[in-house]
This record gives sequence, C-alpha cells and structure tokens, in this order.
Amino acid sequence: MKNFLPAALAVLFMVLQYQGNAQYDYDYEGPLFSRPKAIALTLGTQGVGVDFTQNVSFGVSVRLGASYLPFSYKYSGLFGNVNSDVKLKTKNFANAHLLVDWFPFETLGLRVTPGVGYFFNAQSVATVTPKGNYKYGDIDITGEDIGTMTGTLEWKGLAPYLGAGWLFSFQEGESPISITVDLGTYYLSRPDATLTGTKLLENNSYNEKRFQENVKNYRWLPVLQASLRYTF
Amino acid sequence: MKNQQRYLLYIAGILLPLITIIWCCTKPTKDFIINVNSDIITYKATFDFTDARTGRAPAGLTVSLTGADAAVIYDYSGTKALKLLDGRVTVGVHPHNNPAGTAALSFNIVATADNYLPVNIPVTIGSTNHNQNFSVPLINIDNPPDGVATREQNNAITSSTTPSAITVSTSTNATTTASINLIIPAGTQLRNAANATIAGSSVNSVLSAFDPAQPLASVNLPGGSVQTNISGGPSSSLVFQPAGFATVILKVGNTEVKNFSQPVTVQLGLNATTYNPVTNAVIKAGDVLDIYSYQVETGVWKYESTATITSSSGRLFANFQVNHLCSFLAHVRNPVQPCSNVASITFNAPQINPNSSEQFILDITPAGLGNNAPPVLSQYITLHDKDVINFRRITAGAVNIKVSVVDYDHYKLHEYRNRGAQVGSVNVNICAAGQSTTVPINYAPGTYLTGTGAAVCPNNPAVIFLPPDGAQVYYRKSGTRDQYRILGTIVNQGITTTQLVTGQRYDLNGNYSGKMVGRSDVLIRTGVSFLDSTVVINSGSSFCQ
Repeated sequence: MKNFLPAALAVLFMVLQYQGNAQYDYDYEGPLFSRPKAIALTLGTQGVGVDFTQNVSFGVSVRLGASYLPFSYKYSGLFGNVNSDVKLKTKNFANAHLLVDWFPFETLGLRVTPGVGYFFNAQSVATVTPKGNYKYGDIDITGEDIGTMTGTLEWKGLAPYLGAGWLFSFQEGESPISITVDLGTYYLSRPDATLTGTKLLENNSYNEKRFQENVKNYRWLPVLQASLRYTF
Repeated sequence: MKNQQRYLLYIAGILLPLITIIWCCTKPTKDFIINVNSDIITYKATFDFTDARTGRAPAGLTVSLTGADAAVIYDYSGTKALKLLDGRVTVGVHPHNNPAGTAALSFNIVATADNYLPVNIPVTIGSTNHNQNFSVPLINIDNPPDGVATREQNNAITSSTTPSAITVSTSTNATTTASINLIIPAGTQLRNAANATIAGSSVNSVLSAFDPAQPLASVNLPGGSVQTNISGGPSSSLVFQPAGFATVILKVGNTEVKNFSQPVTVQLGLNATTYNPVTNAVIKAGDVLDIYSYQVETGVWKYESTATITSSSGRLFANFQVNHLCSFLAHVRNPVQPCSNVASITFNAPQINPNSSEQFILDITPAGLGNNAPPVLSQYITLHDKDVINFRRITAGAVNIKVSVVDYDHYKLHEYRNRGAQVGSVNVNICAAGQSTTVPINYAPGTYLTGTGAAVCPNNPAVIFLPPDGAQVYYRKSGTRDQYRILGTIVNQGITTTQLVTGQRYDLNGNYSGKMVGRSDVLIRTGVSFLDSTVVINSGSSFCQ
C-alpha cells in the first residue's frame, strides 16, 4: 500500500497534463431528460456495477447506480501462534448509490463527487481453519479437531460518499465512449462484528469483545473505480 | 502552472484523507489471545479418594487404569500418566473415542496406598455421561472408620508352609456388626497368583470386615451392588444385598498370597438386621446365603458356594471354605434384577437459572431390598429445567429417585444418610421400556452469584485459560483446614451459584482441563466475579511457559 499511493499520485499528476475534453457543448436549456445522459459499467474496489448519469446543468450531473462486490481470497498464515488457512470473502456486499458529479473546470475532466450510498447487508467474512497436528498431553489433535473461527463484519444503511475522478474523452469529445476513473470513500455505518468458533474454538467470546473494539473504526470503504461510459 | 497547482491541491485533498483512513485502522486481531477450548476431553469421571476416617487424601496414593477400554482413557490433561492433586484425579475419554448412541466405554480405576485397602472401581461412560463423580473413602488398616473392623497379624511359616494352624480374627464385642475369622490349617502351603509356593519366614495377614448397613460398605463394594458380569453361580446378573463383606490380604514378604494347597475356613460376621426379601424378615440362622469372591486384579466377582447362616452368642455368621484369598461377600438372594435398558429422567425445574452451576446429588434406591437399602447409584448433577439424564447400572423394577441439595455441610456422595435438603422425589420403574419420567424439583434458589474470568499463569499473565464448561470448582471456608468440597460445574464459562455467602471468604480451586487453578481468601461481594484472577497453581507441564 505504501508503494501504491505515491505511484497513484504520480499517475494522477501525469493525467493533469492531458487536456481532457468534457462534453460541454450540449443543450442545457431543454427538458431534463433531453440533456446529455450516460450509462456506464463500473469496476473497482466496491465491485462491479452499473451507473446511469443524467446531466442536470452545465458541469453538474447526477449519477444513480449499483454495485456488487464478489470477493474471495485464500491464504495461509499464522493466526496467533497457529498455522492456519485463512479465507476472506464478501457476502451480499452490494450498494445502491446516488452521486452528484461536479466538474469545476471547464476544460478539464476533473470532477468532484459527493453523494450517498445504501448498503443492503454487506458482509465481510474471514474464516480461519488451523492446520497441522497438535498435541494435547499425549493426545494427537488435528486441525480438523480444533475447528474454525469466523469473524464477520456487517454494514448496512446509508453511507455518505466523497470522491474525485477524471473523465477521459476520446476524439476530442466527439466519441460517445469515454472512460472515468474515480477515487473516493464511503463512510459506512459502524459495523456489527461477530466472532464465532466451532469445536475447540467455540469459546472465544473473550476475543469477540476485542474484535469489536478493533474494528469499530472500520467505517471507511475506499473506492478506486474505473468506468466505461456510453453517452447518449 | 497555477492551474496545475490547484489541481494538485484538489487531488491531495482527496488522497490525504484516504491515506489517513487506511493507516488509522486497527488490525482486527490486535491483542487477540487465542483461546483454544481446553475442554478437549468431554467425557470424564472424577474420583475423590479420601481417608474414610479423617476425610483427607491418603499419603502415597497411586492410581492406575485397567479394563477393556483403558487404552482410550487419559488424564484430564491429556496425558496417559494420571495426575493426583489432593487425592483427586479426573480422567476422560480420548476425543476420537467418545461414546456414541447406546455404546458405552468401560474401564476400572485401581487405587492403592500404603496401609490402605486397595480399591478397584469399575466405570461405564455412555454417550450422555459427560461428567461422573466417585467419592471413594479408603480404609486405613491401622485407623479404620466406624463400621469397619480390621486386624493385622504376623505368623511364622516354614518352607512356605504353616507349621501349625493360624487363626486371624477381628476383635468382636456385643455390639460388633462386622467381623471376619480366618483359619488356615497346619501344613497349608502359601502360594502366589501363579500357584507357586512363596518363600519366606513369616506371613502378614490383614483382615477387614465391613458392616453392610453402613455407607462405607456399599462404596467399598467393588463395582457397586448392580452386577452384570458375575462368573459362575445362579446368574451372571444380580443386585447384591450383602449381609456381610470382608477383605483378606496375606503377604509373604512383598508377595501376596492368593492360593492355598488346601481349603481354609472363613467365618464372616453378618449384620443381623439385614433384610431378607425371600422371607420378608431380617436374616436368621438357617437362611441360605450365596458367597461371592472378588479379585482386585481381575475386577470380576466370582460365585463360590452357598453358606447356611449359623448363630453363636447372639450373633450371626456365614461359614465357608475357600482355597484362595480376596474379598468375600455373603449375599442375600433377592428378586431385584439389573436394568438392561438405558433409563432416563427429565427434570421440571423452571425456577433454576439456566446457567446454574449448582450441584445436587441424585440417589436411586431400589424398592424390594428393605427400608435401609443403600442407593445403587449416587451422583452429582447440575440441574436445569428439561435436563435429561440417562442411567446405566441401575435396577429394574420400582426405584426411588431422590434429589438433594449439595451445600457446605452435605456434599459427600457416599454419605447417603446425610444429605442436604430434599428437593425432588419420585417412585417409579424408570427401567420399563418406553418409560418417560419427569422429576419435579421443589427448590427456591437464593441469590445467584456468578464467577467468570480467566485463570492466568503466575509467571506470564498474558497466558490465560478460560474455564472450560464441565470443569469442576471446589471451595472451602478460608482459614479452615476443611476438605475442599464441590462448589459447582462450569456452565457457560462461569460458576453461577447460591452456595457462596456474601461477606464470607473462601479458598477456591479447580481443574481446568488438567490445569490446576486456585485462588485463596476470596471475599465474596455482590456484583464482583469471584473467579477473576484465579491463577494456575500447578502447571504440571509447559503450558505456563
């Protein structure tokens, strides 16, 4: 992460050199739905999704969309002092969002985006399964005997969003296809955190309190997202 | 250029909060102490060995396991070596061999100590028997308790043979209810278990006779009164009703005498108040008894012979001859049979806290063996509404089921005549097929106090052990030398009890899966956990390192 951030800064600085050309030559005097609109497929840290954008005035558009994050990742590592398989996955990690894109510069694709999202029942689940063989006195215990421990974070409800992005047009704005890159964050509700165990890891209510304390500030969902947009 | 600086400011304004967000988050597992539930052994039995007279743990006590399933029985700490603390040991089933369904595991625990009679206790663990307790008062030959008569005597022998008749007798008087008299004829060769003669110049005899009307006799009756594996005789299954019971141990040097070259005569004193179900009266001269013998080594009762009761000086005796030595029992024939089903009862006790750790004693006493018959089963239970308990080794036919409170003064399992307040009693045939028995509990609990918290290692407070469910905690009043007595069983990682008195100080100890923990001089206060800061007092292995 420490390497990534300076790199991201450098990339963004470079794109400042690129004179993106926003689509400012539409008619903004007619009825709302006659003004420019766009549909976009999105891909990023909040998952895959679709956005519908409606320009409402010069330099201001409203974006309505939804996204879903199907994520699963396994790795091996130490959990406490125990060699374990760790599986991370999301469950029902979906949101609907309503955002306002404000283009503060006429000649640039830079946009600032406040808004709000609604997370239905977003869960992030980590399951730890000890592996290997252990001894309890003279008794051999396998990882399977020990059981699993599962930590779950659950967010739901409204979450304000603030971000910024860049709209890259093609053919000097004549092409209906464009690409956007956004960087921002949701501020989520305080997560419900639970820690459950099976078999020998069953009694970990002691750690559940610590877990809840440790993750109480897990309310920021960073968003780095690219969109392929079609304007019509 | 000016514009670019403004753009940079915009971007920095977005990125800096993001960096802060990412770096401000605490690792989810920070300060985790992984508590691997130490309750790996979930089927266990606790044995509390005490001197029958003093109530203290016998010095030099050793215990060992034998029997069919001994290989899968371990110390509660998971080791094959059994760990005694203050006369108490808890053993359990290897978690890969837990009993399931109607299957059961059986084993014996043998306890020996210098100058004490050895005991061999058979144990059966079924799928619902997660916790069993055995209170085992051992008989000190030199200082026996009331109701037990002992005699130790040395006699010279020549070439493994008695030069003259040897008579060894416990002392008797007008009120004696337990006695044994052994007569070894002259010219009798003394032989070991392999039937080989034993070289030596003297034979040491230790005789112990039990009054069968006393609780100690029923506890020291190997395997209890319900027997299903008797060798020989009228039936392999019966319920003992002893009129007399004695143990004979002869040694030449350190070798035990097990056999004789010719029969020896045993005169076993009988308790004249023993009920005879066949005659519906107390036993009398002329009644016929069955004689059974028991070897600690084999753990099996064996039919020997019949014996007709004789009378002498107002006392009753059973006279018989044997050619080997062990424990002898004079059994009154009776119609009561062992139950071949797994019987169960359900409690109706909605007033009891679901987390209650409190102990009760449940006694099951068969009908048909007289008014003074001892229970065939006595065990500690934690009791909650709708709890179901299954039983093995009880009797068929009608039984009385009694539930009593365990308090500071009424806690010894074997003292069935000195129970705490009775809170439930039913008379029923729980062995009958399809029988569903509910035992209503008439008990108004006082104020519950709860002790929770972790035990810590004295040399490393970062290492903690949470109380495993099912572990037992013991207590005594601070400043006394009272025996520790059971306070309760851990339920939901705590002890919830009404037995502790606010303002009183207690010493506490327990066995958290083989980790001996304790805390002394704990002042009981309302709203303060009395288990907090319990420390490991006997690490035993490296778990506190």
